[in-house]
Amino acid sequence: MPFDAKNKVAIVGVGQSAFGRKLDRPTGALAVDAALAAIDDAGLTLKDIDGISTFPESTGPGVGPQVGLSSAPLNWMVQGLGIEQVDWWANGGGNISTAIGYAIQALATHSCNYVLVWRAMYQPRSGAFGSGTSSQKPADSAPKPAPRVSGAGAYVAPYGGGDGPTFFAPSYMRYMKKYGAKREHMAAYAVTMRANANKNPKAMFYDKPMTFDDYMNARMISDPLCLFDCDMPIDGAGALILTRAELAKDLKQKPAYVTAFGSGGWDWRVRPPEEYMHATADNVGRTLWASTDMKPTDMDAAMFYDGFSPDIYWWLEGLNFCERGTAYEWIQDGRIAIGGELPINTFGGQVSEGRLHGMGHWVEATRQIQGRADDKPGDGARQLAKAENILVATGMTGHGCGAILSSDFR
Amino acid sequence: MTATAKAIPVPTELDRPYWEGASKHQFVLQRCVQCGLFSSQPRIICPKCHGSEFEWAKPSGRGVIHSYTIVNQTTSPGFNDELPYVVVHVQIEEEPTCYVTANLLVERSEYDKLDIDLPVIVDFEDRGEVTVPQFRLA
Repeated sequence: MPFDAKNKVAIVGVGQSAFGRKLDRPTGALAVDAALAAIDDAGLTLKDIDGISTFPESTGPGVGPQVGLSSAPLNWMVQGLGIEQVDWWANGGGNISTAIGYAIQALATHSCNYVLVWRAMYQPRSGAFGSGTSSQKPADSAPKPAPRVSGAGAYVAPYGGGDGPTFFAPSYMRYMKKYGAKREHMAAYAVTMRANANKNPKAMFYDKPMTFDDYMNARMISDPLCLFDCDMPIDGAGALILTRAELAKDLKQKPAYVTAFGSGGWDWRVRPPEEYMHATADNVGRTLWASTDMKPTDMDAAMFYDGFSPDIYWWLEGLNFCERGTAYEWIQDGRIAIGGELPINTFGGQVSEGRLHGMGHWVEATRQIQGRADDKPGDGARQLAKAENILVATGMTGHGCGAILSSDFR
Repeated sequence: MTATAKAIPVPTELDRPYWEGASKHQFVLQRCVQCGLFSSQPRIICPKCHGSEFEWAKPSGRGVIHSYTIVNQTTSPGFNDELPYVVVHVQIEEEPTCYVTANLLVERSEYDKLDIDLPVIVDFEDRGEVTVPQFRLA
C-alpha cells in the first residue's frame, strides 16, 4: 500500500527572496524574507506556524548561516523569525523534496497544522564549489600543499573527479552512447528553459535569450555537460506553507492539493553512473503512480529537478511519460514548451532561473495550479491555460520525492 | 608547474592494503570471504551476505569502461595543466557491482574513439610519495 496522501494536504502559500549573484544580503536574511513572504501570501501570521522543515540539516546549536554555507538551519530560522512554539520539525533528509515529503506526512497525521518549509542557497564570494583552483581563474602564484584525503574521497580526488559536473557527466555520457542521444537533442531543453526564463522576471536569465547555436557553442565543462547543461548558482531562498485540506479552504490563496505522492531511496548496487540516476526517478515514479488513479497523460505540466539538464531524461522515463531511452526524442518539436503537450519547468528550471535546489520547482507548480504564475496578473506570459494537475519531482542523486498538485480533490 | 599539487590519498586502517598494493604496482580489492563479493572501497559489512570477514584479493585487473567524462574545466587541485583529462568508471570483470574510478591513461588523439564498454586494464601512476591505480585501454 503506497502512502495515501490523496486530498489531505495542500500548499497554500509561496514566498521568494531576492535572487542574485553575490548579493550583499546574507543567506539567513534571505531565508527570513522568503518565509515571511510565504506566511503573508497564505494569509497567515507567524503565530500560526507550528511546524518547520528544511534541508540540509542544522549545523549545530546556535550556529547561524555562515559565508560559504548554503543553508539556513532550523535553529537559525527560529531565531531569525522569532518563532515561540514548534510542535513538529524535520531536518529534511536527502534534499528539499524530502523535507516537503516529511511535512506532507506530518500534516496528514495531525502532528501539526501549518508547516513552513524553506530552502536557502548562498554562493561564497570567493568562487563556486571547488576547494581548489578553477581553469577560469589565473593560477595562484604561491604553490599550495596538496590536499590529503582519506576514506571515500581518496578514491575520487586524486583523479580530479571531485566536482559536480565530473560526477554527473558519466551518467549522461552513458545515456547518450547507449541510446544515441546527441547534444543537439538537449539543445531543445536548454533553449526551451531559456525561453521560459525570458517570461520570468525573477530568473537570472530573464533578459538573456538563447539560441540553438548559443547552446551548441557553449564551452564544455565535463564532456558531455556544457556550461548551459549546468544549473546557475545563485543566492536566494524560497519557502512554502503547507496545511491540511480542511484548514486550506478558508485561506487567502486557492489551495494546491497534494493528490499523489511518491518517494524513492537508494539501491546498494547502483552507485555509479547511469543506473544510479534512473533508480531515483524509477522509484519516485513507481511509488507516485501507485498512489493515484491519474496517468502521465492527465498532467498539464511537470516540474522536474534539473541540477544538470540530463536529469530531465531520467525523470521523463522514470515517471512513465515515455519509454526508456527515448526522452531525448520525446522533448523535441515544442512538446515541452509552454503551450506544448507537457510544458516542463515553466519558470525556466534551475538552468535558467537559478539554483534553489528544487524549491523553485515546488513554488512554480503551486503558482501554476493557483493560476498566478505570471508576475503581472493577466499578462499571459507563462500561466498555463489549463493547470489542473501538475507533477513536481525533485531530488536526484539516489533519493527524491514527487507529488501531483491539483486544483481540486482527485 | 601547477600552483597546487594533486590530492594525496591517505590510507586508513581499513584500506591500507589497497594503497600499499598500488605502491608495489599490485591491484588488490577487498573481497568478502563468505560470498566473494569484490568492493571498490572497503566495507565492514557485506551488503550481499552480511559477512564481516574480508580479505585482500587480486582481481585480474581487467574490466570495461562503464562510463567516462572528458574534463575540460576543473576545480580539482593539480589538474589544470592536464586538461582535458579523462575520468573513467571501470566495471571490473569479476563483479558487475564493483566500479573503480580512475583516469584513463590515453593520448588526446584517442579521445574521439572512447566509448562505453571498451575493455581496459589496470595500470599504475607513480606520483612521488604515492602511487595510484589507473587504467588504460586493453
